[in-house]
Amino acid sequence: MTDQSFDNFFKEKLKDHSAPVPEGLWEKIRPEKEKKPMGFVLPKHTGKGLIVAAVITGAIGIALNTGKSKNQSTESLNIPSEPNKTTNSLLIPIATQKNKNTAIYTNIPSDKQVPNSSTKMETFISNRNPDTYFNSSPILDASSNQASNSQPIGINNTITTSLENIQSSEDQIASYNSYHPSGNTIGLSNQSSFQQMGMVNKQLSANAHDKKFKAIIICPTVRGKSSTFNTDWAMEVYASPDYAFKSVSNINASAQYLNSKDSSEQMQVGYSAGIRLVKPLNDHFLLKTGLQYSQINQKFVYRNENEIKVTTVITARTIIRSPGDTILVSDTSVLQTIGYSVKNVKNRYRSIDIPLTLGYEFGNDDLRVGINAGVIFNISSWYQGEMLDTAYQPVSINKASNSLYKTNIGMGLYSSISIQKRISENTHLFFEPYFRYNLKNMTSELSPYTQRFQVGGLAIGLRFNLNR
Amino acid sequence: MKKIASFLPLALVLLLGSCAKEGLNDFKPYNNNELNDTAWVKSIGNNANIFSLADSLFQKIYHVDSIDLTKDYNIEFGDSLEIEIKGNTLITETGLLQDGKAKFELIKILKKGDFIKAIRPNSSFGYPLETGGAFFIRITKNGKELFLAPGTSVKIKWTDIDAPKLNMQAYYGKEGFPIPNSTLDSAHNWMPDTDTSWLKPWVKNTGNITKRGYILESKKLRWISAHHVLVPTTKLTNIYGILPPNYTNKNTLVFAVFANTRTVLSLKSDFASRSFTTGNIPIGTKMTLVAISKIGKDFYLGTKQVNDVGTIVNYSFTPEKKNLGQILSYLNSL
Repeated sequence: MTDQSFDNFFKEKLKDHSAPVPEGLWEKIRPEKEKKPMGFVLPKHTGKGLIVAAVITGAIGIALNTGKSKNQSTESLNIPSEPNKTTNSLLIPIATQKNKNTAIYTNIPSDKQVPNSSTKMETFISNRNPDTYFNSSPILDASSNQASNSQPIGINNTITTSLENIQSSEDQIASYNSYHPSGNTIGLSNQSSFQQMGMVNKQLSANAHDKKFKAIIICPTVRGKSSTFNTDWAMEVYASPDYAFKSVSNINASAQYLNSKDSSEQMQVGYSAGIRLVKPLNDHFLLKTGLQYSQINQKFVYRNENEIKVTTVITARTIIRSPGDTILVSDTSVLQTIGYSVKNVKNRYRSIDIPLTLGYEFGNDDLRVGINAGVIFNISSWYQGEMLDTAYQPVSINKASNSLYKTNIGMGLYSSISIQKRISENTHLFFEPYFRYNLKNMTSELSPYTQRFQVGGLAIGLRFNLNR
Repeated sequence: MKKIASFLPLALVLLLGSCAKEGLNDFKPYNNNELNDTAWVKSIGNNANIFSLADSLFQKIYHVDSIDLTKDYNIEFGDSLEIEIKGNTLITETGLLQDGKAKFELIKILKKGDFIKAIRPNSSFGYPLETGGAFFIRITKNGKELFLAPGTSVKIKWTDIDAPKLNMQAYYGKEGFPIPNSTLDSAHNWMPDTDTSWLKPWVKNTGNITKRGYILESKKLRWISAHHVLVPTTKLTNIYGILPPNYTNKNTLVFAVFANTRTVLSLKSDFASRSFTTGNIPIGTKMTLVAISKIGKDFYLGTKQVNDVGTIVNYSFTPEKKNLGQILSYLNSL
């Protein structure tokens, strides 16, 4: 096989080839440039400048860290590929954007390397010298322009250049024949094999470079696409000081009783704690659900009048049994003290709930603001403490013997505003003032009044990104 | 680990915030409630509860009649008591002989409980007496009390509840000066009449019924009694009644009710030992200590059976809250 036949082989294979631009590629890029309509909007030119700066930074980084290219995670690659592609592929440039030092590569399966080029690609190929081929490796120089990349290179020149340093070591490479699908046998000399190996090496190097290069340029567009499903997950752990607002309505109780009951109960700060899974639907909308424990605290104060406190006292006294006969007598007795006692009991209204909220967030990665709304489903509620009965006497209420309060208060509405600050790469600290409105009364049918709590609080917690 | 460490302070704050004292009964005593007044006083004021307690116990149920001061009267109260008053024997405090109508009042106390209710313990100068009964006779004209003229007397003949004692003699009650309006007279003392002939026992058989009693010719009105001194056969000792701190000398009266003689002693308050005491108790005397208190509007009754005076001389017991009727009923049973 001659050099001409080798060239013909590639020419035959590639002259009309054009890889289609993956669907939605530009749509992914364009929204990224055009997004951030509110909150933190960058000027259009600034965005472009940032991209250019990112490209330059990436190029410099590549130049400085070529040896580390293997460490680049393949997950950062954004190579749109069609399914069922085989591993027998070549890395072929499919598009070159004018005035930009970018090159996008795609793996084209060998079985699809059929001439199907676009007009641009045809022009690209047809302009070249038949006796030349394009060095497609972007490793040449990321800063070089398209013209330099498309500079025709003579085979001899290429061979001379590429084999200068490896000539001696490659002398022992045996020649072999390659069979063209057309039936022509292509013989590869040592020289051409060296040339071929050089291409492979360049392609491998380009592949590694490409991973690094694309990671810098294209990654932001992944998060920018709003039309596709976001695969991120996050977990929130939070706790909140709460304050409940009690509302009581009379059914058939006396007003005096309700006044006494109300004056004996003082709401106190309670708390909630929970864990939530966060599913971002896109960059703005997200779903949250989880499990939440809440405890509403209430101070029950009851003054019990005329209570007698008994204290054991030991007294010692000197008595005279008869003149000159004095003895010391120790006596144990009880001292009664009358007064009033203030019974101070903390009532606890506990519940376990499942919140389900839809949120909208905006901002940047460092600081985001969101609003959330949704429902809270009560799983179980139970109570402990004391309260006044209709005889104005304190009675205990507990989980076991309680006919006054329901064990499930049903559904409530939830709304909140969240502000989250990034504190590490995968962790955000958030503050979320919220309000919970219970739709149903907590009292049972037997109760002579209805009572429900509305709860406000400030959830403070951490959001952990589960995908990194 | 860093995540846990960052979450830990938050959890700690919540945990500490949830810790609070609860369920405690914060007791606060009333400032002006008498039950909380455990102070003893050296000098008992007239507004102390023991005065109103004594008035509550001694209900002063008088036998009342009207007499003509110039005529002789033999007033009979059933078949158990006769009072013989001679005419023209009553004078005023200044010695003027009185005539006309006068009001006659009489109280008879025979039982040990009666002596408690009247707060007239059976003791003379601190020594225990055995009583055969006592009377309070008061004759007033126009609200002013009259007195027996010198050399005159009032004859009292009564049926006693016990067999008459041969060594009984007349005792006159010495009261405080001025005579207190309250029943409680801390200065009261039974003073013996040196002439033992003024009191004689009597026995009358009517069919199968034998009545026994005393005839006492009294040279004074007001408190008159038949007593005799208990002659001890053993050594004497002091006894102490010790009550809880709530029962002080301002609200409590303590008596010793002898079991084998009709003797009731009052235990005086001893400020130094914060107890109630009396002396000259024969060792071995069997008795019951009775404490009656009035704290606020509440009455308390405490009793203590004593069978071993001498071995032990201090007796602690705790009164219980009772109503006045229960206390009177108990006293009537003594």
